[in-house]
Amino acid sequence: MKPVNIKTLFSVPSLLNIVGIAIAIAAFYVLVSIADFELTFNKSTPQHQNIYQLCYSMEGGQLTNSNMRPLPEALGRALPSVERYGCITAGANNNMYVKQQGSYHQIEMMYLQCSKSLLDVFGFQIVEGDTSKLINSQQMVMSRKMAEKYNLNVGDYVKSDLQNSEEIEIVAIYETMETNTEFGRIGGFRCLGDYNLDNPTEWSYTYYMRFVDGTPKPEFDSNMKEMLRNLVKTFYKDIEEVSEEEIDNEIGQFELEFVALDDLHLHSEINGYHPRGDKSLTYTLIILAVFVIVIAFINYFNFFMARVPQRLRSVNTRKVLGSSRGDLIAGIVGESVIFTLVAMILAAAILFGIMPYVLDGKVDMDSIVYSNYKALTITILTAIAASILTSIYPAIHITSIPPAMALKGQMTQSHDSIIRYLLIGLQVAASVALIICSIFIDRNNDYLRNRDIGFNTDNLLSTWATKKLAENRETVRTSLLQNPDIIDIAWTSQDLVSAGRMTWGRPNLENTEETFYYSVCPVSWNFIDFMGIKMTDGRGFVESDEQCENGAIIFNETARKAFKLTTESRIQGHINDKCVLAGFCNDFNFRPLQYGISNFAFYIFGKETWGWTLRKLYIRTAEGADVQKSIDYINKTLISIDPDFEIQNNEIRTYEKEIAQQYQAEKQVEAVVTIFTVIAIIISVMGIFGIVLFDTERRRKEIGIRKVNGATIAEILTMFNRKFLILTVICSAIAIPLAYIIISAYFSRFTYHYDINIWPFVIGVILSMITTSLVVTGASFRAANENPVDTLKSE
Amino acid sequence: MINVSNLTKVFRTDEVETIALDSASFEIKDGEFVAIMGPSGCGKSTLLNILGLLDNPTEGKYILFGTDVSDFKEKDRTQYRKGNLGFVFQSFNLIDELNVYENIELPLTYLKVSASERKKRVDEILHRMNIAHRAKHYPQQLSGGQQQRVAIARAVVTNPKLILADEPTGNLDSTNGREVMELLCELNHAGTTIVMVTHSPKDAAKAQRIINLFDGKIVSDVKNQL
Repeated sequence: MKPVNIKTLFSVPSLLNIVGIAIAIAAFYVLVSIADFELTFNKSTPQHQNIYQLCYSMEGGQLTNSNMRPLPEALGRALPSVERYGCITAGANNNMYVKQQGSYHQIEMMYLQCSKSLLDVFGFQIVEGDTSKLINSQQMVMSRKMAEKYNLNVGDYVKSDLQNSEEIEIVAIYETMETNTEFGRIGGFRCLGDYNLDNPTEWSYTYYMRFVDGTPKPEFDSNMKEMLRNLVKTFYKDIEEVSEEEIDNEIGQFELEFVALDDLHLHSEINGYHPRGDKSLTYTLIILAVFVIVIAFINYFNFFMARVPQRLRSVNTRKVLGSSRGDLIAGIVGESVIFTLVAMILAAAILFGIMPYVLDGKVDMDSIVYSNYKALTITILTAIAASILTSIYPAIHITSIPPAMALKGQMTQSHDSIIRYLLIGLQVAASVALIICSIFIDRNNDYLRNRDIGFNTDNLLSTWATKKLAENRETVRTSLLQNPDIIDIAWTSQDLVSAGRMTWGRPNLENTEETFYYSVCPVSWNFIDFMGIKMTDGRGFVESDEQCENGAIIFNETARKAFKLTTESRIQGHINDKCVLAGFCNDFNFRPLQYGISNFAFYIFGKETWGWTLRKLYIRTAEGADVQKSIDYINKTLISIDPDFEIQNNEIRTYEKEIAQQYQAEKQVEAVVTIFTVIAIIISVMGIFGIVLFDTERRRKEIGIRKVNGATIAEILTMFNRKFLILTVICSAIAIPLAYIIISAYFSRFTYHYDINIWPFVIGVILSMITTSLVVTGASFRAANENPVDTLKSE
Repeated sequence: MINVSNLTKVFRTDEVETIALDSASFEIKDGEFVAIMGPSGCGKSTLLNILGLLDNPTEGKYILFGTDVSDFKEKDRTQYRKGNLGFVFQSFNLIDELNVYENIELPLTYLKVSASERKKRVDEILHRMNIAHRAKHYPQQLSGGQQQRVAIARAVVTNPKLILADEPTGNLDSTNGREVMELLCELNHAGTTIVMVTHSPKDAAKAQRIINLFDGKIVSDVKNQL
């Protein structure tokens, strides 16, 4: 059998189908690539199955990967099954300056500090230089990609702080890791050396341990607990006088957990540094990929079924002339595969020509999509399998009809039509559910940005200051306040709303068996007042607190209740002594709204700052002040105090922009889900359009008869619309619970979220009905307007 | 009832201009049975379409029921057609997806006749046409003659003043053809005006008047000796 009648490819329904399948194949490939990128994260790391990150449980069951150095080091030495262990500092840095043409310039590179042994844990492949020269923070290793990008070689020097004369030597260059690995986006590692190796109070290190191949997943069982107890006893005996009771108490609060490197990326419960993925987004994308391809091939199936009556005569004529049924089926399936191959060529054009613009930088096409041959193979095989599956039933069906009946045209289509409309119903249900979910996600993002989170966000600007600026706060204040558009400034050590925070565990000085765990935010004395956070008790911070001996603290109400505190309570601060308890403040959302409000404290270090400087500068401008002019003034002023502020190139941004960054992942989810939802809806709409077009073509005579018998154009259009609108309403009954389940699962990630109410459902259904109506009207308009004389004449 | 003068219809394509109807003028009175005859392509169906308000003339005047309908727009033609005109085609033009009852009911639904009234009128016409036992059947299940009876039933269910029949016996054998013509004659006797296009002199002989067309022109308009 001649496989493809070329003419059929150029009819409007055929072209719609080819375009629909091409879009679906392109979208499927992108979605599968992203999901594969996430699901295979770290899988290219040598011995990835033997590497674990050392975490421990915090209050509320959350895990943190921030450790002190001494204990994990001791554990690594003591556990016989640990082959290698090493650590990184819990936080990437991007201040790196390279000397070019006599002066330093900042380069775009994220780097970490690590112990030398970390390179062994992850099997870094050194291509040049010698890692044995890694001794302290004055040496580093750099990825080949970065070294080539900035023309750096072994023996060259870089700087991490322009105000510090210390230079860092590049002692080795390593082969760049795959992008979807733990350190794939890290450009280099500065050596940590022995820094804090004996300090049990600095919990800023993330440890990785590589176990001997074949070791089962390590558990923190009673044996390991006993081992840890002995280690701590030995360790503390060497450092300070700590009672056995205190050690037992400390050990009792430890719940170590080894998180496999393979699971780390999508482990949303870990607080602290790790390249965080989003499990729900990954699975959402897989579901969307399946949706898109199923919707497209439903169109394809419908298209095939709709052509059955047209093809009956030719197929059965061939049968009569001696063609076997097998040959006929093979011919029809072959045609379907060729049809899909044509769509694949178009999909390639869409992938390279249109998709990068549609995704607009939201997906790294080069490293995630174009290089993923596994996803490409899956896509090609899925498309071919789908084309065979969707054509095999029509092929069997069309060849099963007795030639005598088929050639006489004695065929009813009722059975085929039911299948077609059922499948369209599935598409419509999926589209309605996707529309409803998109509305909810959009509303939720709006809610996250605009919810009252307990402090004054009006006219707020912020930036990261240089060390020099942070050390000259009074000069900065005086200079900025000279502009009447600037009302006040205040300092803190990090973004006021941030997912990752420093957490302290401090003993209750009135009952040393009890330890208080809480998040801490070091601030300047005026910060609470500046932010409009209300004090509920106590005096609040005063300027002289910045000169106190043992630090000053203000807890939020949640912590006050949890710890049963009063203004008379004795609390330990950063020094091993009672600090000033300056009072209690109202609860506010100090972390993004995925998280609830937990125990929290503002802190002033006083005289002994632990080396901390408050480098986050918040500025309040006057109501109605020109934002851009204020930003320009602040920039100019800060540069005049410290010219390095310009080199460091830290952005002065509005609060809206700062908070938007906190919800970047959610925004990304919204953008990606919306884009692919729109694609799914477009394909679905194309399917409905195609089927209505086919239907109207088939029913031209009927339309003519109805018009002759008094039907108006509006009545003809209503007739076509009625069927599809009823279908949309019926499908909405399936789509609404489906959307409810999906959106409930999505919202379960948020402690605070947009209420699930009726309106997005109503709007979703109405939007779907309007879309359906427009599509059906568009597709049937020409047929409805035809002069019945023309349609009836051809009979 | 019908008054046409200098009715002309020209079909234009990019290359060709075809005069399908050339300055036709005649009058048809209430209750007349007129047959239009002529060779294929002479303009019979074009004239019938214009008379049936399915098409507009290119030139000339067409007065139907005292109203000049020559320049009616599609919407006006549809409105004017409703309930006033009934059509019978050579190929029956029944809707395959609707059964006999639903096919006959169709023009009444577009006239917004109430459901109870529709039922009454359809039942009545089913009995009158002697096809009540076929009410639930679909067109494919009927013989040609039965299908044409249904088509006639559908044409008369609204009690139109004028029935336009385009070769109503063209697809039928002689027995069924005779029965259909008898039906049309009955309707005419009951007062309905009928305009019928036919190739068959035998069928035309049943009409009271025969208009002959040739190349779009009326070449004769004679009363029939019944």
